[in-house]
Amino acid sequence: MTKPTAEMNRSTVHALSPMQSCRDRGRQSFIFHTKRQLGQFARSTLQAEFGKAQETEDAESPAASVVPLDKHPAFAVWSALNIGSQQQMWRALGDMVSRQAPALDEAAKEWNKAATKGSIELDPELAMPTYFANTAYHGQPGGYCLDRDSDDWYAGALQEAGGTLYSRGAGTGAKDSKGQAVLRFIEATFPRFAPQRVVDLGCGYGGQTGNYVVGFPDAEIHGVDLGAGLLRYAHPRAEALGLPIHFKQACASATGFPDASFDLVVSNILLHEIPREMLEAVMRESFRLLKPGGLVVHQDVPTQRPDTPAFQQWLSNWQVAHNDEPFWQCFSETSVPDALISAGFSSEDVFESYQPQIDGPLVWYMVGARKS
Amino acid sequence: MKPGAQPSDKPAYFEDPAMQALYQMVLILGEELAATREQLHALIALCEEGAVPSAEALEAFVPDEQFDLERADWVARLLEPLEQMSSQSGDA
Repeated sequence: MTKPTAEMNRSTVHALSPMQSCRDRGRQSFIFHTKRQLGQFARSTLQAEFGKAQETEDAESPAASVVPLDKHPAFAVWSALNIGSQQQMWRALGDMVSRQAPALDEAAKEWNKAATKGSIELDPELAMPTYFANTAYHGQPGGYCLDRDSDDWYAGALQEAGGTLYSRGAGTGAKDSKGQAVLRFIEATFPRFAPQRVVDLGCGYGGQTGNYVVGFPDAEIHGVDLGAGLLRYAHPRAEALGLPIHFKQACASATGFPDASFDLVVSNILLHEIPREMLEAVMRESFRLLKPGGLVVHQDVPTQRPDTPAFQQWLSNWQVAHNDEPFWQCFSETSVPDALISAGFSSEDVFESYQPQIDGPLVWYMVGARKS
Repeated sequence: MKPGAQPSDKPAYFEDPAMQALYQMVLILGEELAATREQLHALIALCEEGAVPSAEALEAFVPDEQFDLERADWVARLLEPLEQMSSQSGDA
């Protein structure tokens, strides 16, 4: 079997990638540049106005509310354009994917039939947690739980296309990869670590999961997610890319795998998408799944950073109120190291770190533990 | 089968809801204009090569980096009033 060596990032193209027509390119470029401009406006003008508002208003906790700018007219326009641009993004991408649905459906069927490397295990009886069933993350129509029929892969296609356009609009480069950032962190921190079995919790469309195949070519790689519509896209996508991944529909807090069955447990931007009790349950599941000597690494947005500027916190809070990120603030206020310790890890084995993006200006929060 | 989740209701950004609708309309017009600009740019570039461009050639056309700079520039101009409004508000 040929081992995949290609880098899995925002520019990865595969058999299930929708073709961008000339009109699609025009529409998406407009959205991309609008997002870039609005981001730049936020970082310059809004940030300056935020500073002035902090000086003039008696804000007890400016970082925890949107109050300092809510009366500023430019804020209202910026918000309306920002949300309008997000809705526009989903409509443009939805049009592109839906128009090609018959061809993409054929491609999915073909790669499902040809599947020899990985597998997919769906559970039609699995009860969706209320938070998951009710959240249209980032405004994605239908959310990640969209599952209209037994062949529906739409949620996965939209998640990949939306994630790419949104991230690029936010300043992230086409070569960026959260999975590669985790691999780089593991290599630097645990240089001789060579897992035989890896599980990616909340794997979504499998975009990051593929990196663990490339990073650990001798390991058996598993991906777990609640969304059947995500996994129905992830599986043929991985097959088309030559990535042996075993996908399973399950909750990240109750995967159904045996105790001590993995050497490495990872997640990529899962923690800020789930409520606190679920985060704690995911930590307990991470502990249960790991063999002694195993490693867990959760990568997420860096809002945990104690020196996060007040304006950055304010922007994060804006996402909570305006962009279907209901658990972002809860994540910011939760101590993941404490949750890991409560789950059973020794405090001296717990770590947290901030690592640069592979291709972009941001840093990622890495938190995890080695199981003694 | 799960019908999926619906995006949450957004806060009202303006006292007059017509303002919000107006900004939505501006974005839709901008997007449509961007799509038309894209097609027109491809069409002109292909015509300059001397042949009547086919639909396939139009779709296969890849614009150069200069055109992307032009895209960025006109979106910047479209959003310029936001900056102006901010500085006027700051002066008030």
